[in-house]
Amino acid sequence: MLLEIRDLKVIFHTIRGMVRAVNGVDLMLNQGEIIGLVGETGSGKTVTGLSILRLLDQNAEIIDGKIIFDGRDLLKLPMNEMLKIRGKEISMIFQEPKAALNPVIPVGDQVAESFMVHERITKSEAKKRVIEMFNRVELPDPERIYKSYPHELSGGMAQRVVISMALALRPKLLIADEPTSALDVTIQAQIMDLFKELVRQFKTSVIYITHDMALAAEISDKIAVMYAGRIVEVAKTEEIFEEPLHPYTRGLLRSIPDVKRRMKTLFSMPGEIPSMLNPPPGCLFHPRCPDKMEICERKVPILKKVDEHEVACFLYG
Amino acid sequence: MHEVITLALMDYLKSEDFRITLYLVRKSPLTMLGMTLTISLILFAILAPYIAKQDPIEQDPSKRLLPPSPEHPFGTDQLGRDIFSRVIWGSRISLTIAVIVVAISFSTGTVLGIVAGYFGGKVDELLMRITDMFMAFPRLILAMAVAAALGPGIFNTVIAMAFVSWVYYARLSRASTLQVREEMFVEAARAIGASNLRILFKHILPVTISPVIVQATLDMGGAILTAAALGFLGLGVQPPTPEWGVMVSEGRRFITEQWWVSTFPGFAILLATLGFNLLGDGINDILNVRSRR
Amino acid sequence: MGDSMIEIHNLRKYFPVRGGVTMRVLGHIKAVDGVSFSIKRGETLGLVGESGSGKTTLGRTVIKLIEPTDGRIFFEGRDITKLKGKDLLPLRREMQIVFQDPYKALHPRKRVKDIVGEPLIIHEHANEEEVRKGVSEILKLVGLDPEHMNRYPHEFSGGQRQRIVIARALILRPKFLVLDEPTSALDVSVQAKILNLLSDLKQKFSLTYLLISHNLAVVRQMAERIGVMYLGKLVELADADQLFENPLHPYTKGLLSSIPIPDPKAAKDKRRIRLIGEIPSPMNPPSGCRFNTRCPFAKGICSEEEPPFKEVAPGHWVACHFWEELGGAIS
Repeated sequence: MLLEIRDLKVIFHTIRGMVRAVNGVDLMLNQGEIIGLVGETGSGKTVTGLSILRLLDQNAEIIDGKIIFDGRDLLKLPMNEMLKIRGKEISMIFQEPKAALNPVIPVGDQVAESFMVHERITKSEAKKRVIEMFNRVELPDPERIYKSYPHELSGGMAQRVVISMALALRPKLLIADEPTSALDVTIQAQIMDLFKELVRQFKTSVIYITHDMALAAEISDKIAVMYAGRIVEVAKTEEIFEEPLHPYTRGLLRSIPDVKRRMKTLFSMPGEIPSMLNPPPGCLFHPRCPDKMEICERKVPILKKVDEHEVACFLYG
Repeated sequence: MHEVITLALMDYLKSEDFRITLYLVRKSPLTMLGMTLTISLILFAILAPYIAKQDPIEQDPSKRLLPPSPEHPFGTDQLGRDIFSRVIWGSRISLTIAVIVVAISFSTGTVLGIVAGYFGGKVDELLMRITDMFMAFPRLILAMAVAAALGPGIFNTVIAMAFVSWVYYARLSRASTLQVREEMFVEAARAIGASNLRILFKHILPVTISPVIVQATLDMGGAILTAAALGFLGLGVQPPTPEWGVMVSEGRRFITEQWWVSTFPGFAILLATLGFNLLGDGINDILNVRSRR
Repeated sequence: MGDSMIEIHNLRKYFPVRGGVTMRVLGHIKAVDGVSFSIKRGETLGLVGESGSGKTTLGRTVIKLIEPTDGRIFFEGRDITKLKGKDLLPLRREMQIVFQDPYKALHPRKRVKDIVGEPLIIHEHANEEEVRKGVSEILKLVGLDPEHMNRYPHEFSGGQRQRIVIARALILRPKFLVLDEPTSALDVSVQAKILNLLSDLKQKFSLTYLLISHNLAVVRQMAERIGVMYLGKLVELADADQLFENPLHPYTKGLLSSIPIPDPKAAKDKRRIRLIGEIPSPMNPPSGCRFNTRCPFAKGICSEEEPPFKEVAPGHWVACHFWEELGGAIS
């Protein structure tokens, strides 16, 4: 067991009140596993990812839970220990590659910094390792890219640089938050192929956060579906698509437009994602659920094992 | 034209944005201090007849240069006038000048700025060159020159100061407009057939007003200071009108022995300017923090 | 012309790039570089492409939100290419656009009533009462509660905001609508609702759509015919079914094979046509066929001569020197 998140609860203090962004999340990840964390806006998937590295905003507060990585509870670590873990044992990449790069420093130097911060090597040593990494991420002409500034790179190239920065020190865990959403479809395909290959080579465990089920399907061994701050279903990728158990998962899968055929009307789930300022009582999905029962309005279902899945739904007991 | 501005202002004051800003103001002690000072100033100005019962202009040579006492909390000046009531009544003068100056320069400058920013081209070039010329001089020096040319008096003081200040609003609103005109909702307005005039005043102006309001608040403090400076130099308001700067100037002769003549009006200038500056800075910080989110 | 609502001939839009101290013109971004097609009355034409394809610029140029550099635009048989200023105003009643980002397309400080009602004020000089009535009616038609017309945009969710954008576009009952990535900024579950709404409205108001999107699945659902753009040019145009079952242009094939499939079994078997390299800059497009630098099948002539855009099967157009040799669907 590489990572275990237990009952994570994160709130945001906003002008309009308290928002429960993450409301009791349990997640387990084994060494070498890739798990897709799928959800729409407000599901809490990004906040969950940021919590692991304690990169949350000032107005966010982790009010409960444990995040156990390699035997240690990350939420209880002092900041200097946390800094040793960031970049070296756990890395994170984000949607906007250029936002993660300093605009006035050549990108090569930025990646080199990762090496120099965590290992005692000289700059020229680090530079060699960076060029090596750039080759690994299939950047053409790595020497030239080393000296380039972020604005001189295309989105795809910048994301490759960011990936090389994240994987430079062979972290055990990589958290990827929508790493390809800002890229064009054909570039996205390139980066996905690269990403899959690299994590396989480096045996990195990955939490792949996305709103796109199809992308998650491409890379993940397991998929966890989040809704309104909680995980509603976890299962092996094939299982989730073949036999989704949670009504939200079912609805979500049906809502994806099919590229293979045209339908008269697209399926859509009634209702909307609930306000996290004033969440409804009981199961947060019940106002939109076609299989709603009386108990759903009163009690919150917890994640339970059903066949090969974990589901949080009263339909299953 | 000025109705449009007022409408835009009213809209802003009714908006959620403004309420959130107020909430955040309450959370910052320095800003609250600024707000307190400012509101006090305004109250003093409005309630002057009730607070300062003694006539600020009436001279009484028998009472000249008396130190502070219960009867004359700030003492009397060289003509026997009660300084306390002069300071209180002086707040009216200073505030009136500041408000009128800021109102004129704010509206003129903003309108010119958004027109230049939106249309670009030669109109913009022209405005930029004109504002460059004005901004080449220190504001006070320029105001002094214009005031000297126009002659003394409240009216001329106001003209001189407004003449000098509008350029800063023009630059600010122009910069803001350059950004806003690329926004999707402006494009949407063009798509439905809105004329340029309509877009300028109903779409762009309401949005550019926020940063300019901050500047206006800060400027009030600056205006009070400038009016006092002009008064001090004899270029602005003339005696016997109880303007703080004039009062400080008149008290120079007595500063070693009868320190109160200059000091109290001096403090008034200090606190009034400080109040507006703290308030303006605080609002600035709030708006910047919020735009970062 | 007959049945066509929109016809564009050789449309070009170049954006000058200025630089240096003197701000002289360094070059041009050839956003749209010679595109021709027609849209039939009642049809939905889909336009797909990635960054730099020019599809967004094209959409805006067709309705004259952007001035074309060259070429002609016909609306219901009338040449509208050179219309400007006041003459353009009546056109705005008939052609409208739905924008991509509902969080940016609505004025943050205006009430919904004023945003949606503005076209009525501009075109019909409507008074308060008439505005209220018109806005109420259209809000109901897009699935919103007219009682909420006094609220501000930020009080609505993304899906609702997009409905407001649609309401504003439709309040004058136009005939033609450009849909610029209408659901890209929305969640999947909301996207379906908005697409269904757009389909319903199309029926109800007998609309014609130009649907611009980078999402092929969305376009599949909504469009009868689809055009594929690359670096300012149309590379393929065909009936939707034809395009997906029998794509002829290598770029189309690459695009189709790049789409992630929500089906893990199929995803594992899928062989990708991998497009190498980056999308070139529209300021300096490659010579000859613009796609040649990334095309896995490119040969000699491809970098020298631009392939003509021709109809190789009924209703199926393609611009490729080797379309015939490469023909056939991809897995």
